[in-house]
Amino acid sequence: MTDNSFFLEALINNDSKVIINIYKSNFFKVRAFVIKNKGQQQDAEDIFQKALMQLAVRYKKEKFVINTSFEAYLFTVCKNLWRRELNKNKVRVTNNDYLEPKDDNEDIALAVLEQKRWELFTESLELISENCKQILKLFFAKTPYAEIMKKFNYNSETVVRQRVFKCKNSLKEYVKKDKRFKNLTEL
Amino acid sequence: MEDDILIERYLKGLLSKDEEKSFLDRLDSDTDFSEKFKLEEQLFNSLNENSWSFSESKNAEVNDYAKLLREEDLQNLKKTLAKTSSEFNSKEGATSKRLFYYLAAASIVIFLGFQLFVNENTSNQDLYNDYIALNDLPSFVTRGNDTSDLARAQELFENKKYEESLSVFQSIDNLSNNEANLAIYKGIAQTELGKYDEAEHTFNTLINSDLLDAEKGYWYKALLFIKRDRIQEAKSTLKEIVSKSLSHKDKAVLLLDDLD
Repeated sequence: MTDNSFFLEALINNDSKVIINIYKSNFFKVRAFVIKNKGQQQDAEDIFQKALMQLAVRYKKEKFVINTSFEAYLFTVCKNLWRRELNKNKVRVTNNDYLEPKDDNEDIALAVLEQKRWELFTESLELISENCKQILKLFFAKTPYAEIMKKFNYNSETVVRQRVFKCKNSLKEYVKKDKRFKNLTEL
Repeated sequence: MEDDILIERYLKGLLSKDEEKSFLDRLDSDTDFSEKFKLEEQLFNSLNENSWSFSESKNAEVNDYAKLLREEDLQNLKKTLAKTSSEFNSKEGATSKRLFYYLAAASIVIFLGFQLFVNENTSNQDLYNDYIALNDLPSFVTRGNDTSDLARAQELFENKKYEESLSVFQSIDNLSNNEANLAIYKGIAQTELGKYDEAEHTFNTLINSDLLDAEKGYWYKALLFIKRDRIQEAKSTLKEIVSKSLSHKDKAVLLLDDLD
């Protein structure tokens, strides 16, 4: 059993001693992040609990393997859950198709799927060329083309557009090739 | 590439009203375009740090997760997490050491005072007093508006109104922040009132709880046994503390020596 599955096992076994240690070594970092990003103590507490529930149900269903350290992975899940909370209002307002989850459990279940999709996309981004990766990061951050042009010394915005187009296609190819793609994207 | 630019402009909110309407019409009628759009949108929202890509449809996998989450074991985990979170974070809050010292001092005074009226095995009573006095009682955490209740309990304690102070402790012991500490104080107060069975029950409840400080219950239960001259039970509880390395292990070693 690796160190990572040790913590996941402890969660599904409801091992309160290990759970306390998970709090001791991880909670403060998460709290600092949430408070720095428009959140409160209570938000951090909620997010942390939801993150651990997410890991537990995912491990229970599919015994997934964490490739980084448990701490790093838990922090990423918490960060994403907080992004998710911050964007909930936006999606309620702008998306008419958005259905409110029935309860807390369904909300966590949806968050698991979204986290897995985020992982597929992020991992695919690591497979394309370094230049493409940098360009797409700027593109997804809504950086103006003029700025990307300057940064990469391209001659015109049209060149940037072509580059974004190419890089995005190569990213999509990796995404579509992945066996997780069918389950995770709702097309 | 034209479609890419169109989708990008839509996602950035740059289309005019008319353009947007024809865009949405096309999504409804053109399946290929709609599929392309959905993936673009998911990438756009997932990989932009300021947004998030929400799941819209509830597919089979989501239902599976939700079903597992509703099962008993994960519901129990949820409870454990809520409890751990509340205890962990209350320890982080502002602690009032001052109140703790008052209560500790008051309880010592009361124990000594109580001694004068009770004719029990003197040496064991001395041991009890020595160890309960040496011991650091856990500190109360003042958070929210429980301060006044605790202050009231303290005053009653100081005025030797044990019965009343106990009833205040009992009325506030549902506050999750202080559960373990209150159980300890409650049990000691019950001991002082001679309500030994109730005190034992209080400590057993603490031991069997999954509170952070549950194991401290063993130490106070051992002291209670000494108070009641149930020395064999005291010894076996103390030995358990030592063998399992529970809270107050060092004192348990000393006390075991004293009992022999």
